[in-house]
Amino acid sequence: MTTVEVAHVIEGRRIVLEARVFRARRPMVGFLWARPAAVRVETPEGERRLPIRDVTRRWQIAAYGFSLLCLAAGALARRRGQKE
Amino acid sequence: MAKEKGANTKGVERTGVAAWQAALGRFDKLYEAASHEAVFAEPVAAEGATVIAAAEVMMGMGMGGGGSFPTSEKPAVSPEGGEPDDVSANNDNFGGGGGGGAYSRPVAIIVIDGDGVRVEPVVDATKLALAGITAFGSMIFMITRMWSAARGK
Repeated sequence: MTTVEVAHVIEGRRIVLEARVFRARRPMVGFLWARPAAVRVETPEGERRLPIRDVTRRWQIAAYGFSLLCLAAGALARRRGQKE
Repeated sequence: MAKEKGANTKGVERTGVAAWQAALGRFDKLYEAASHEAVFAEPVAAEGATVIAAAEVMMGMGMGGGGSFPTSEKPAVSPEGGEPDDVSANNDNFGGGGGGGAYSRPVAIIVIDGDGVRVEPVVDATKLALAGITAFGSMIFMITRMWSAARGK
């Protein structure tokens, strides 16, 4: 996983866009996953880093995690019911 | 004769390898194109603000191939001494195939205006709805199982 940066100067501010890139390369096979990581704003006053959060992915993980817990709890309840 | 057979093999290998290298070249180009440059779009200025779209990019590819090289003793070169007209006439086979896929999904929009810089997340309602339905279904399953277990007592 590597971090790559692209810089732009917009409205007197230097905007540095950070992306995380994962590459797997073999002669006949290749895989690439790249996602935005953060925006760095550089001004004469200082530097500010704004992380880019993937809201959809977070909610998806939460929902599917909850589903797995429910399935596990349901299976456990059934097993206990059968034992008794 | 053995020399002719060797020349024939080389002709077929050259054809196959050239095609193979061309395919690999395209593969590399596509692979490079889907790097970090695909994550952030070029800044777009509109209505006093500059907007940059950010997306997640995923790409996978694979290819393979193989072949059998000359078995016949047919002359590989034409009487004029050039390349053989039809390499397949000697039962020489070379085949290859490949496949791949690319996926891109918007993650956020970066807005730069007079007030400052802000990151607006992009929410995929369809994906969240599907995840929500799955979670709801699992919850119903759990409640049903617990209910039936309690009634069994």
